[in-house]
Amino acid sequence: MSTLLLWRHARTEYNADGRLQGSLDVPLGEEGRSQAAGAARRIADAYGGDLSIVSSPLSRAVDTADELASLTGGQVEVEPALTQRPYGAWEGLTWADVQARWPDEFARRRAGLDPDIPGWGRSADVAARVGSALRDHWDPARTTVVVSHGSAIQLGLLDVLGLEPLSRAFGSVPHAAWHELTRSESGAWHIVGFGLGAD
Amino acid sequence: MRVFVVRHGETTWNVEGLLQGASDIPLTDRGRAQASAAAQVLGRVVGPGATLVSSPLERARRTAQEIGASLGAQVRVDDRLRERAYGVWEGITPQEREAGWPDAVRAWRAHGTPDVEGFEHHDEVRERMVMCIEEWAERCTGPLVLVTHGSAGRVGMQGLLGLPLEHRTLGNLGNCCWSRLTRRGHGAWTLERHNLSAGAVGATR
Repeated sequence: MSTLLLWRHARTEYNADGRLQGSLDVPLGEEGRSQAAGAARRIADAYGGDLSIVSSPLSRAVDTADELASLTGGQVEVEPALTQRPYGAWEGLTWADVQARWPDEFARRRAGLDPDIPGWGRSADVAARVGSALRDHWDPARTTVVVSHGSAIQLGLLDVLGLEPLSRAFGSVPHAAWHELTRSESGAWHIVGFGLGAD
Repeated sequence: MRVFVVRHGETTWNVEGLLQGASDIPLTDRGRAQASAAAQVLGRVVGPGATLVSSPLERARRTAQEIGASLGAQVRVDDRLRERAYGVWEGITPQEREAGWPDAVRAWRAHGTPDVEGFEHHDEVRERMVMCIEEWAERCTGPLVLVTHGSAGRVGMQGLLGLPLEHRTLGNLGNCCWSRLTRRGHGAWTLERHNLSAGAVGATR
């Protein structure tokens, strides 16, 4: 059976400061590059060098994907549908800023719901977009590594598993961790590993 | 609170590809080494004040002893963490299974509940595993570490997460691999890790 990896990009300076990125294009920086390189080595060791690599267009994902491509000698294909959920008016702010200015919408978000703020990417829309890209890039003959973002990966995973986009069955995982999925001939997806590479 | 679900180390029947279920099969040398490696990592990541509970079967208890020594926790035994019983399918080869029960093997592949004498069905396994895990989680204040089996562990976790059992949404744990779940309240669970092994952690630091 073939394998699809969902790899979360490495940590950026915005992540380190606790700022929300969403559609903002924040590069990895040196520390993130080194985190991506460490995880890339594990991925190449565990899954071999013949990998298809597909990335979200945002630089933090492409930079992460490049670390793996430089080890395997492969090319990174950019897939716009793998981009992060837009956080609208909250992009660039910290959760503390958000809580102070939008206490009710912050509470909705904390409860796993979509906040009602301008520009927010609704969970159902993001799940359908990313889920469809995952089905498109599934290759029954070759291991595929998809490099994307925390929310985008979580929602795409729920979509391919046929679960509600607001389900809280799956938690968030650290930057540079990955999930390993496979798909049966019946079309059903299975989680072989979740949050791999992390402690 | 955090719950770690750990599968036992390799046994002689794992090597031969035989279903074990209720059969009590010991660890191999490799299985004992896996238990010791997993115990070392769990000793670091589980945190203080852990409660450790094992299935009564030897392969799980032996694995739990290693983990207990590393965590500084005594091993408690709960019968509900035992493996799913496979009835007359235990100890026979996959070829014997195919030849003797072709229809049941097809049903097993399609939805996991074949009509085989002594085979414990999904709902029974889910009920005892979920009840066991919720009870221990309710009782303890620190992290909870459960040493159990491939099928019982998977069905228990899918039950806690509310995932339908006809689909193998989660694959079985490998020998001495573990998962981590958090409990937000009764019946409210989130999967945070699945199928981690001692050799594969720490790549994202």
